[in-house]
Amino acid sequence: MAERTSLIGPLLIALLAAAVLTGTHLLTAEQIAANEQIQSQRQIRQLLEGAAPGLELVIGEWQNDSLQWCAHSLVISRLRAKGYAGSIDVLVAWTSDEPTRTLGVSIVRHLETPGIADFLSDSGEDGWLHGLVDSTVATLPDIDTVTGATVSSRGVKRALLATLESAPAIRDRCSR
Amino acid sequence: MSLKTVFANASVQNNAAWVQLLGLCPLLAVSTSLVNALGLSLATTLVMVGANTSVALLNRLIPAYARLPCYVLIIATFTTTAMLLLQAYAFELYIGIALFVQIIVTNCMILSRAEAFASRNGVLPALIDGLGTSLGFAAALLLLGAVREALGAGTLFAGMDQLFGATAAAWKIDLLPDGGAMTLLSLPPGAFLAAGLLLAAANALRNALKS
Repeated sequence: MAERTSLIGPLLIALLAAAVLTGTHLLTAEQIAANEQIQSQRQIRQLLEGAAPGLELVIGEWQNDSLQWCAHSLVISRLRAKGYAGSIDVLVAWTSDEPTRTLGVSIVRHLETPGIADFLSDSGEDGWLHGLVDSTVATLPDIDTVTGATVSSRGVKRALLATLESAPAIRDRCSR
Repeated sequence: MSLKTVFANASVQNNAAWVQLLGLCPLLAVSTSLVNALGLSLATTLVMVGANTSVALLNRLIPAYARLPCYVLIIATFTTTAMLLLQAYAFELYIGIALFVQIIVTNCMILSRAEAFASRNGVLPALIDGLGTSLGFAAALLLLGAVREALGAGTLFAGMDQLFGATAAAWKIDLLPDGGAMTLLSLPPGAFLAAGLLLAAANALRNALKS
């Protein structure tokens, strides 16, 4: 055992730990980024299948956090909703034409409490997320928040609302 | 104490899950299917063996008054390593069990082996003890996972492609006809029921062997 007041031991251990983690990070970072990319492409494909079935759309480059298909007035936006424990990353497919409405909602990642925030990973027909589909600036505020998870669900609703309200700016991008 | 005794003690006599009832949170939560159980077993083994060996190796650097923070730091390092590896090489499995891999840090099974065994023994016995403890835990987890998947979902080895690549998708065995599964066993209450019955069976077996 080292001396009672010596800090050298713990400091050395901390340095060793940092070295191990740096090494693992360098070794895995590239592969992890590639995996996340594949995951994100898959989610976008799923949203497109739901929002524009039968259309073979090419996924372009993100512009201001949006993918846009002007010919179909179709937009996919990635938003960062304010959750209880951190941000909730959301993908939403929506139409920028009047009446502007949501076509599909999908959660990319969140840090909310497991169990309580399970509704964020439930993509089923009865799920809360499914209830957000087909809502407009007028109807969105009337959708109930989730009991026990008010902050998380209100955050998602607010982020969606802000996105739908950006429709004029998004339409402008197409006419340019 | 011979290394063989160390291993037998750690894996069977003092089996972390069925005898000491440690590490029950991940045991109950992740045992919904064999692939989940296997993923968590691998991660736990990496952390357990790594932490035990490192604690024995670095013991002279660890002052008595700061031993718990040092142990937790070491365990957290291996847990983060396990998470990064899972994220890189078994991404889909990672998404399913990420939370329970993170809380390996607070698994009292690992901390207790560091404090009770690794800090008082040499590097090799500590490694063997870590291996024994995690294999004992893995056996309990896999058994529970197999029972719950077989009765709760009616399959075995489903989703193995998440861990072993696309060819493993064919390993899936359908045991029960459609609608024959008892969904209860896939849900949290089913975890308690199945774990309780298995624990009773383990106790009965032990008593029978004694008498």
